[in-house]
Amino acid sequence: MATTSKGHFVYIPPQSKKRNKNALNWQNEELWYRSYTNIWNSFESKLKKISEEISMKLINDVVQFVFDYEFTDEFIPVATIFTGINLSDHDNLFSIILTEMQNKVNGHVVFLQPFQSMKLKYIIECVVSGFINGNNQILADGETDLENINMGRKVQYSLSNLHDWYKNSLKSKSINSDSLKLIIVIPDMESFPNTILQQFLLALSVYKERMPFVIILGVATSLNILHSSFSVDVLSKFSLHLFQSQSSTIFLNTVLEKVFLTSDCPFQISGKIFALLTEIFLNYNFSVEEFIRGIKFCLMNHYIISKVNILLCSYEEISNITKTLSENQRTEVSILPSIIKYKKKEQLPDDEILETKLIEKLLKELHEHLSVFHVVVRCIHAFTKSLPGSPLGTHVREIYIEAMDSDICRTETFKKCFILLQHLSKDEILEKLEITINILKSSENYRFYEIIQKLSNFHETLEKSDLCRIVESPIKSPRKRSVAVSTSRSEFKQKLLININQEKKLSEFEVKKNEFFAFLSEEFFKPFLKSPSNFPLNEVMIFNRLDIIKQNFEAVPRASLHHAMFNPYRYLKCKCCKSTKNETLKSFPDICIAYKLHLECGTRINLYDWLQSFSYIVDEDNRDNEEINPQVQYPLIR
Amino acid sequence: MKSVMKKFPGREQQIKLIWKLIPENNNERVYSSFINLFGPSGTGKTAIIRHVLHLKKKRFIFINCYECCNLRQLCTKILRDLFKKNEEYFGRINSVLDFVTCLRKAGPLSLRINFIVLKNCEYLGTSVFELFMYLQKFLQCEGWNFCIIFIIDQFVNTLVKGYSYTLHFPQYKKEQLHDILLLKRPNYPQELYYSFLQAFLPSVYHSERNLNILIRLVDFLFPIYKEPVDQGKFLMNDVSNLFRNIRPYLQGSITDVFLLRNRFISDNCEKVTNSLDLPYTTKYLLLAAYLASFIPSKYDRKFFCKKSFKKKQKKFSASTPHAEITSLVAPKSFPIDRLLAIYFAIIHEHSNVSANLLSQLTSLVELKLVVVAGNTQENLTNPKYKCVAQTSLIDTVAK
Repeated sequence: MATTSKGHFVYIPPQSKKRNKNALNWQNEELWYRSYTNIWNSFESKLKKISEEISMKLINDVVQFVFDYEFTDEFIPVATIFTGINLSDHDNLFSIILTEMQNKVNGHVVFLQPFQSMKLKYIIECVVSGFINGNNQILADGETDLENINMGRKVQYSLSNLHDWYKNSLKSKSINSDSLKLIIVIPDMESFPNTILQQFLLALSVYKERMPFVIILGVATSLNILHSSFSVDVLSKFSLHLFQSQSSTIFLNTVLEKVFLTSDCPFQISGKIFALLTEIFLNYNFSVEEFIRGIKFCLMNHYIISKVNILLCSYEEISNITKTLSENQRTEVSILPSIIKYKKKEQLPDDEILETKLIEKLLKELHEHLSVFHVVVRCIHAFTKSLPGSPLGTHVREIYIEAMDSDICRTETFKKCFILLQHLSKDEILEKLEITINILKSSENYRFYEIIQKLSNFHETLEKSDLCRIVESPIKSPRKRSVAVSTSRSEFKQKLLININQEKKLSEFEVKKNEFFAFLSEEFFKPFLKSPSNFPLNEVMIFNRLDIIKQNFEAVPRASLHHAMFNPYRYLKCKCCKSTKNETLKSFPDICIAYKLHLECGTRINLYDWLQSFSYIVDEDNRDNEEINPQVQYPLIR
Repeated sequence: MKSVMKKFPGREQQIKLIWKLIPENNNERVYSSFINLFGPSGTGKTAIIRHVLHLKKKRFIFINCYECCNLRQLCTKILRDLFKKNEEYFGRINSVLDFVTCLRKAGPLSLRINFIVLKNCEYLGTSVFELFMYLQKFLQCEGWNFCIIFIIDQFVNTLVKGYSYTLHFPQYKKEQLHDILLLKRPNYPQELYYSFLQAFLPSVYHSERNLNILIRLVDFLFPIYKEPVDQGKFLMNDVSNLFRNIRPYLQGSITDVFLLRNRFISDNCEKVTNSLDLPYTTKYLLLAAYLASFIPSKYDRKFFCKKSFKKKQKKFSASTPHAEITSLVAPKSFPIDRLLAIYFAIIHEHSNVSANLLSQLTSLVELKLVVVAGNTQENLTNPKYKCVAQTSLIDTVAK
């Protein structure tokens, strides 16, 4: 009898893997998948580079500290890194630290990650086995490590084992043995139970004279937590060194400026979605990784929602891809709202299918405009970021959000900016102008050659112009100013008012300045800052489905619960529940019916009435019957 | 003995007793197989016992109980260190009996005295102390010549009674500390160091008497104290001016003793301690949690109701003195509904309860600024929380 209960194994059929592979192959062949991976890979490589660059200073500091630290008998060095609360980004940072350590410091590194229901014994065993066996990713994923621990149970690692091992390895290595270090990285202090971490550190402190431990501690909140979670006893055994990591907002800004808000990447996100994603970032989680995931989601969705979107590709590939367009796809392109607008403008017939050549031309135009657009957004940022009150925001992303969806040059804030700009001093204007010219030059776009020429001319004239010399203003005031000769007080007042309203005489500099700003707003910003979303074919390059993003990124539990109860078809997607009108069907789940009936009543509900109407809907056959079927009654009572 | 006394001033009585308790001759039986050295940390217990055992050329093992928290670990550690053999030689030790058989197996112990010094014994569990109760009997039966010395910082109820001898190490007095500190740093310029200690000790004596920490402070502060003398700014006996120079460091170091190893850090220390970078809504959520746990719920209607904006303004002025009074009381738990209600009352704008917001609550719990109160399994539908963040932290966040 006993044997029968034993034979339960999960059997995974071997074919499943093959099928998966087939599916992958199929995906690889699809054009859209290829261009998707292309774009995403280019994103990823850039992101990796940037995240390394940003955290490089901190990492170098930490590594240098570990490298330089000379061991005394008294204390264990603890490098405390304040990482900020973006928990998901930490892994990245610490993995970089890990690799850097392994490259530069002569020592062994162990990574200690929080583990549920852990005990001191396990931690010590893990750390020691990590040092001895040389696998530094301890506890990274639970299962394999449990196996390791079980394997190691026979040996039972303890710190004295580690000491023996350390002495042995010193003997065998003989060269450079002085600087051999044992580094323990604890990336997230808060998630460890206090007492256990404390005991662990105390246990380490026993060996502080004999083994050179270095602890790297990631703290998410503030220094206070160290004081509140460790006793004096523990703290007195360590020498703490503090390191502050870059705040994640700076990180986000650089990521945005260098990766997403550039013309190199063909994929663009509409301003509203962008605003939503940054809002989530700033208001809720501070996690750059999450933000990037959001953009990845946008990119995936972009390819999925419409087949036309395979046209999204880099500038060089446009002609190749437009050639492969099928008839169907061309018709689909032709009914895009922006194309219909374009047709009206060009007075083409509405049902005409666009030629591949034309599509190519339009796409290239859009590409070119975008490449100019991004540079000019940066220029305008250079001009407006330090204005008092910063009407256009202090970051590039804020201007981008404004400019992407509508023509920024027509907005009130833009005009306000220009009024404020007029009040700037000569030096400030010259400085800003220089920055702008530099930005334009570094972009190396042929369309800017003329502009650069003109701007540098302005720079010259402005620099030479005198602040004091008065040039006759073009409009001459007809009346003479005679304030002195006045008969009465009221007359005097009136004259003063007139004097104020009269045009002041402008200095040479001011005249030139006005010319310059007129040029800036009319000839420079206006044509180049035209919103890309007004261009034909913008749907292909700009992802603007705010509804999808909202649905996926702003989860509202109560509202979605209500929707599910009110209209089960939304989630169940079964034929029986499909109802066009606001009606309650028999086929709905019981709970939905009960909920809908409950909604119909006001604040209070009579239980008997509720039951009656419930049975009226569910039990169609017995409608006339006064008695209620207990089978019907049961779900409601439950 | 004299040399020991000179080395440890202020401990003459204790040294005399210890000297007597440890027999001269190796074959002599110990007077008491258990000795407790009891006193606050930093009073010289460990240093003296090690020094004496060393001078008398006794065989002893020294174990810090931090690393062995249960019986098995302690036993293996003792056996390992006593016989210098690997664990595998003894096998698994699950009980006192295993331990004793291992001792028997390992060879004759009766010939020489063996000392076992156990430090920080308060970390041992009660079950471990049972070991010693049994061991005591065994020692008598087998005639082993063992002496176990316990070093204890805090009073523990389960101390071995009966045959044990307890020695008390009291706190050092101010003059004694002075002498010791003078002794510890012989290479400092004598006269200057003396005057430094004269000024330094009275100012820290009330807050800190642990010798180890004091030495650390001296190491940190004295170079700063010395600096103007080296530069020739002040004269050597201008104590008041020199002391004024180190005052800011001293004040900081009394609160954050362990951070001020590095002088450069101390400048931006203030910035680091109080900065907490939180996302916008999380800040408000934390504030709401704080208000919810420190303001009794009967005032909720008064403070947070949306009747008029004037009342809301009042809330901020009223809550600050109120919080001061209530911060003496432990934070009270509050249900999640109340937290959200207060949150929406202070954030001034209407939005839905989104999953993002709720996930921020969990991240606050993860950061240990807010804790879940009560049984989590019971309260799935209406969990209760407590805000445990410090008032100073809340203050900076609120700014």
